[in-house]
Amino acid sequence: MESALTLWQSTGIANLTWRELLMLLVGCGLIYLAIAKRFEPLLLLPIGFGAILCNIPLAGIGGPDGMLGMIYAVGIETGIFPLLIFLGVGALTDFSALIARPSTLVLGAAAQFGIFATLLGALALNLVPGFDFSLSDAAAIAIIGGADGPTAIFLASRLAPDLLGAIAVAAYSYMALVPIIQPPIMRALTTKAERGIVMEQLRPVSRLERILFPLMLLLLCAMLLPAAAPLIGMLTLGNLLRESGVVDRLSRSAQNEIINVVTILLGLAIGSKLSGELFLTTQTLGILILGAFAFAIGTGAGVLMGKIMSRLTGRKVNPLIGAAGVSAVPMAARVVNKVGLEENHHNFLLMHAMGPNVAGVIGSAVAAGVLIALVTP
Amino acid sequence: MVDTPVGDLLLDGLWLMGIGLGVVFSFLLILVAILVLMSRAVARWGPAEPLAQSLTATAPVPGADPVPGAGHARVIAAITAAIHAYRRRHAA
Repeated sequence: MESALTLWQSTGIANLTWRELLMLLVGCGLIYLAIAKRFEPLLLLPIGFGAILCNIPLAGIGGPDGMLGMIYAVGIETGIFPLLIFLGVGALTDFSALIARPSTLVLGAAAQFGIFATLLGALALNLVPGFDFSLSDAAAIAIIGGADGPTAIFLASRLAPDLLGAIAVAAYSYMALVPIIQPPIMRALTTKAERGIVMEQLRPVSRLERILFPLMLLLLCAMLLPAAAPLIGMLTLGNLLRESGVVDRLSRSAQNEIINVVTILLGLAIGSKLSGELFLTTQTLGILILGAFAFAIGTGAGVLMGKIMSRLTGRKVNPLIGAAGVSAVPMAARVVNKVGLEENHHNFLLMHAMGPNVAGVIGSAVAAGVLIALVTP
Repeated sequence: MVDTPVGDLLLDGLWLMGIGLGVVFSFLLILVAILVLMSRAVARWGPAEPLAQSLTATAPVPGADPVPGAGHARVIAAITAAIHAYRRRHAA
């Protein structure tokens, strides 16, 4: 009898709390979104599974001595995983569109307005009872507006590790929702004529330019904003591996094996932060709301800057490409292409939108550098 | 909740917003200038070969001959020779 009772007390059913049960359902929900709806499946699937694993009663997988807890300590607390992802992003990204038309960098800068507007929004939320965001919390939440998963995780692990789970889930969920969030804002802010503007073809970019670009970017970062050097450094290294053309094997590893392995581990480690006590709070709800706000503002600011550029250049720029200034590569550029095609079936904006799109990656990394330099946890 | 600390925080936030956007914009504007200068310098002093290559070759072969002109010439010569050999054999 005694041993039967002991056995019962070691089962999951006897120890399951409502929080754990709810988080198991959240994990299943994320896996459902990944498989059935194809929402960022590469990340939401491991995150959802990580959430399930870390909420198994008694197992303590997400605790400091558990498997996921150790992966978290090694990869995310140190900031290594998001940086390795950036290496892969650099190796996967073709910056030619940006080199051919450098002025699109301004669009990438404008879209970062979403980050700083959300910072104010998070601080203003302190007026509502139940919320207590410090300046560093607010900065970590605001970076969701950069629409860049690895940057958000890197910054959150530096400034607000407690909020990391919610921030990462919000960032990746909204990146998956880009095709739903962005088009209404883009249509509301532009006229039919503006959406129909056809842009002239980009000039070809020489190999030497593509090799010099990452070096120039790194040099500028080293001189002006060393706080962003880890992010920009890995991005430019990955890109140099790609463009140099002499280390094909390394470039392929960065594009495939390294980024894939790290994505699995990163997803699991983030999932391990989705434990009931940390996630089921009013703060999480606030973060989810602020994240949507951040995305919308960033998109709007990008489009408005696109309109300004369109006026200044005498209607040579389609303002829609401003919306791609939020990073979310290459999803945002594809959305721009789709909205452009709705107006004019022969107007392919994809390559033109890639410029602001990759500028957004650089812009959000710079914004993260500023926040790291100025905000101390 | 007392109002003053939130007000102070919001002021901090506004300050951060000003500095942050200023830094982001100036960083990217300087990058624009550097890229424009770099492209001009490459166009003027850079080798002419890579541009021609990117125009003609749709898919550059990784690890191809470092001197594409010479490589192409040799490949073309080989193909021509093969065609000649084929025609001669089949004409006979």
